Amino acid sequence: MRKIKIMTSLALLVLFGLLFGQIAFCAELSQPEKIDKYPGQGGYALPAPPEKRESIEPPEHKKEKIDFFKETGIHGFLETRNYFNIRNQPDQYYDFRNDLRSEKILKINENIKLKGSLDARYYLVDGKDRGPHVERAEFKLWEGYADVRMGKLDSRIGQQLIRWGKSDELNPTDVFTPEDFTELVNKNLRAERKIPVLALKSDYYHNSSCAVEFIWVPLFVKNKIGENGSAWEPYVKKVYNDLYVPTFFGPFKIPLEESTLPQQLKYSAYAVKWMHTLEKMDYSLSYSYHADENPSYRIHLNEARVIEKHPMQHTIGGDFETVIGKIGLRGEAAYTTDRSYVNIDPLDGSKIFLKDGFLSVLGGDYTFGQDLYFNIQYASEIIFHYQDFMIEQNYSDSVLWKINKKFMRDKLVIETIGRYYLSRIDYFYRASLTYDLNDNLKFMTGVDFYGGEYDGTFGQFKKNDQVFARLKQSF
Amino acid sequence: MNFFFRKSIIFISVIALTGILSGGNALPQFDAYLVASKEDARDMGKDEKAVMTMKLINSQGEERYRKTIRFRRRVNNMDDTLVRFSAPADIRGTALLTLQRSDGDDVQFIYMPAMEKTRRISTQDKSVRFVGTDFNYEDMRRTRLDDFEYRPLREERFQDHDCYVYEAVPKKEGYSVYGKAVHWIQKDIYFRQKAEYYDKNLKLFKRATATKVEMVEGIWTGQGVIMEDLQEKHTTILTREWTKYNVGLQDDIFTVRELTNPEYGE
Repeated sequence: MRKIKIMTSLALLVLFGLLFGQIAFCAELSQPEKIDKYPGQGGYALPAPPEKRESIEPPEHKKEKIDFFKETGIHGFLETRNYFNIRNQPDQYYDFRNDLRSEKILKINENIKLKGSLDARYYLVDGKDRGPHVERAEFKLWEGYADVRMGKLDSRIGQQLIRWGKSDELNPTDVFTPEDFTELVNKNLRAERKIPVLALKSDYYHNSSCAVEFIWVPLFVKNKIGENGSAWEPYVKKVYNDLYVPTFFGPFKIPLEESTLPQQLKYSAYAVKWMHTLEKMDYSLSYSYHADENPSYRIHLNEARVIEKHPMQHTIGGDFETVIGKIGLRGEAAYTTDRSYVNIDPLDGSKIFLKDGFLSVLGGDYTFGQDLYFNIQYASEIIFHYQDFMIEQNYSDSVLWKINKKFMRDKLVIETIGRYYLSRIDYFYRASLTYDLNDNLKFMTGVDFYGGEYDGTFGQFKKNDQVFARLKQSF
Repeated sequence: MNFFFRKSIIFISVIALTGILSGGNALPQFDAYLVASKEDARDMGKDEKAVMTMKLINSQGEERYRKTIRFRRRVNNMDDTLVRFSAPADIRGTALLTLQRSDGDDVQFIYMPAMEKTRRISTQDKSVRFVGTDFNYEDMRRTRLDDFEYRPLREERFQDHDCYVYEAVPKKEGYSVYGKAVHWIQKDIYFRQKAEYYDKNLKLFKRATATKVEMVEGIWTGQGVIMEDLQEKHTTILTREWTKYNVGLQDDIFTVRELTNPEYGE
């Protein structure tokens, strides 16, 4: 059965490649005219002698073939992703995901633009003994918003992605819109994991170097985390999901009640940011009032249930970016109140610890020669008013990296990304290879390794080492 | 007497012979700095909007394409440019804003729509290739005239045009990514028809050839450039699809605000 699925996936990959090879071929027909070759001049035509011409018209009349995507203005991508668990154990999982995103931007006039994007998804996840067999097809609105410009004010209204912070993969200030962790970090970039929310975002540009941004997210949307029984279900959720209390009649399972905050305006998120671009540096200062995107769990023994909580928080932070010689330097930090931490006190496990925390990231990047790129970041977290029986450490720090080497004029990229905790054994790293089959078709393959303690950020997924293959057609 | 006569004959002969021998290699009678400054001062318009395609051809003949819309304006003899990519699809919307500074320490920002962020990037290494093409950042920016020493080489016809040929050598190590460059400047319009770039070891590295020079709205414009990397045997053909000069580009365009506005100008 497993072999059949693998073979089916490979066949789909080939079919997919062939299909979009055709589309790419059609798209190529509309490329600019080739210059006739001429021997003895580097293989190209001699230029014509100077001649006077009043203007040069746009080249629409030269078009011979119709490029569907260009003509309709519909853009997007089709991506297939396959993951195979490589741990030698009976419960190896298999994960096959396909995403099609189509987007269209409609320019009403110079000051109003509309954007809509739709997602069609097909997922097939076989959790074997570790989780359910999930086959799911979805069709949903991804983004849908209006951009309105009024003088110095730019506003975006509607379902939109909001991305804050200048540092690369960890953004302590970007805490009021959700992320999708249902497959943890399978998606390469944090931006890919962000979930669009209904919001109003307004930027007032005082001048070319100063701006203030205001964001209102009226309805709370929480982070998506690994589903029950799936390979990516977090350890903490698993513990609360599997909680029994002894009773006279034997152990009684306390149900975990997954919930979210009521759709009320009092749980709205508000955020404001001051941004300043100087000659040598950019920086911003920000404040946000929001609910905790991550769920925390509290046992209600009298009601015999576990309830999911999302306490309201204040976050104050800032970031900066500068360039020193060839080094790009970026930093970001935020102080957040009432962060939830897990209580493992056997006598008082019914309470969540709400403590203030300070998260910071400092990093830089450097390119050696043309093609060897290094990006290193140092991240730390401090918990204030620390108490015993908190599962998290009082102080934790980690190093994140992204190193890649490009070959064949960027057609082939070999890369490693990862994160290693210095304060405990806990790590994730990925080695990958990306090859551009043509301008719009990209193939990526690689291997992920997870390690550490059973309750670590990555250690809890140490059975999930995997190889993967991705094929992405952009249009 | 005979001794002096003989000496005089030998001396005159040597002088004459030296003159004859060196006559063929005599330095041409033009001021290379003046030619370079006239080429530099050539009318490029106050600003410009252009759609350009770049065809990248590797040594196996495989081709890739880039398509951009470029906005340029000249302020205080420095160029500010905004380049936005419309193809290929996976980098569509990526934009590069370069604000040239007289001290060479340009300010540069890149907007990456896939990451939804703007990033300030280093301009110190001007040898970095521009999105995999054969143009590096030094080729894309306006060089400072006084950073180079100029030496006339010869006058010759190239592509049916009479050209001044001169050599430009950077005055200091950090002034250029090249060891030297040789330029062919068309005499009547001071247009650069060809340039050869040498690496730091003075080995021929790249060759740029203008194609199809035309008058567009009163300004001589090269409708294309073929840039060949002779060491890697890779070629980029840059072609202007259309060009408009003096369109009155506003200051706002050359700001981070406009960088993140992907639909501008389309």
